[in-house]
Amino acid sequence: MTLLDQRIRLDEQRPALDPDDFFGSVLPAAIDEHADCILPALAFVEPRPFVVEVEGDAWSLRADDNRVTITPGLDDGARAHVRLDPHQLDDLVNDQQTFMSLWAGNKLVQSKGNVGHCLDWWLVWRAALDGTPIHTPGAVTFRDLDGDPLDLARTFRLDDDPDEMRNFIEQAGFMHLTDVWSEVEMAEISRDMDAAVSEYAEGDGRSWWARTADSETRLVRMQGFDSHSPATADLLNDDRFLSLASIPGAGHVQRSHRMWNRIEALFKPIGVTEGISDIPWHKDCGIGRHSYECCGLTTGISVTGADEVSGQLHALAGSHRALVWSGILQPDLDLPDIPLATQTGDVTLHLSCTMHMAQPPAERERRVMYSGFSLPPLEEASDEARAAGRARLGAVREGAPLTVLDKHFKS
Amino acid sequence: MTPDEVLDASRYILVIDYPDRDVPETLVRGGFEVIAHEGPTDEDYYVYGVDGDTVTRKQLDHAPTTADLVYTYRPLDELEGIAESAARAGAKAVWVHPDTGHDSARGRTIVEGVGLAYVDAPDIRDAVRGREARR
Repeated sequence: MTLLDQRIRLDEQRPALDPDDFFGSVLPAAIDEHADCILPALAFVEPRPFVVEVEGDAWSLRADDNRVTITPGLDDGARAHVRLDPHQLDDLVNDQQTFMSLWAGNKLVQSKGNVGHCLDWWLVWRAALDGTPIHTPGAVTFRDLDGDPLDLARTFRLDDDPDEMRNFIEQAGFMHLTDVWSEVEMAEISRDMDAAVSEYAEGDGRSWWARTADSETRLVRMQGFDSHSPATADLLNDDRFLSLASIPGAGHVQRSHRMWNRIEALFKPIGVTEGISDIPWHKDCGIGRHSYECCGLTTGISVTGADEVSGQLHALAGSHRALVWSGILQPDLDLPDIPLATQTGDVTLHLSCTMHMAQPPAERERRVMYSGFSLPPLEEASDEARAAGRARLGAVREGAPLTVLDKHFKS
Repeated sequence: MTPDEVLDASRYILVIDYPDRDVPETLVRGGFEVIAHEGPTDEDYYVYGVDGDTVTRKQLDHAPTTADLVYTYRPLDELEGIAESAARAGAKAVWVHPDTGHDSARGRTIVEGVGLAYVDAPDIRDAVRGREARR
């Protein structure tokens, strides 16, 4: 495992998880083994007493400043109580899903407490099972190659020093590249976006839609956009685009999965009242499979510029190096929020573990395209198991605009 | 005070302008008592409430006299006056919206200069949502 290759699990067939064995033996042993990843953070996270119920059996989890205890049975004083089916527990333990994905997919059955209580315990589980320290304030710092404080507002050009670029994205988890494409090239793509609107329909399974305050229904995300834009298809084979993969120096390649959707073109309307257009704070891996896939590299191509009134991207610097809530901004995080104001033709890069969000546009609409690169697949992994895991998460991602995520963030 | 501690210590929030109606609506849905000074004149104050799933808004005929927290989306050159008013209203903190183009150090000096806590990150909406998620 390296900073940019966080894969510690292989897609493979595995025996079904026994909840009693997990809570009685596996999790307590993992907590003991990785106590150094958990105990220093308990005072900061303060996980509340928590009950997990699986098919009528219950386990109660408690944490104080220096220990975590798991006991069978119901804790009447628990602040939170969730009911999981065995498959959900299996997926949570094996990082195929997260509490965030269950919640976003409207599949989290929680009779007491809120999703934040689950996310606090998810941190403990991941620290125990993966050996990753839970983030504590001050744990993430930023240094340039000379050991000086890193200028997080720095922008780069494609021909800048590769070592400085690699160090920046390793440290910050994101990058802003200027002047990658010309205004003329982006204007052609913008025209293609207008022309492609009629090729998509609400409910077609390859587009996202939203309602605005003036009761308009707007197309906000066109998937597989290169099929409708020759200029975009050319861009995906352009050396400028392909060279982005080499910036992190981790061997990223064009995604071999989701080939039908190599690039998405997004409209960012003003005043969205229903549907997801501007996704709030999240990690792309926040719905699961971090330990199988990360870090992927997402490219945002500014078809039009973006700033504080036209839907710019924000990134939480260093969050890819921090085990924190994977969606919703965890209270009292100390990581810097960096707004990425871009000009037409600029590119933003972010890692799949970097917390980021799209600021809703207030005065001007914005247009942007998203594509990306993956780490090369691990040869030992099972293609079938990988495809099944990705398919389950794909359903969560595509279903999210219609479910609780929308209700929560628009409330 | 951390942002979460500021919210924990607050019940009455005075909102002085905002980038989006989502700000007072998120605060009132988060359980705070919210009055917004949103113009168009200096005398226009609105009290926000929740009725079922709906956020309500009613004009007040007077300015509020007290607040635990003042949130502002106004330029830096207005911050000194806002901070002084906040102190007179008994507020413990001023929360500045992150995208107001403020010099953060200058803003902090102004607000802490009148004895109040200064917050300019995160966006107060994100802080309330995070807090709600743990409530």
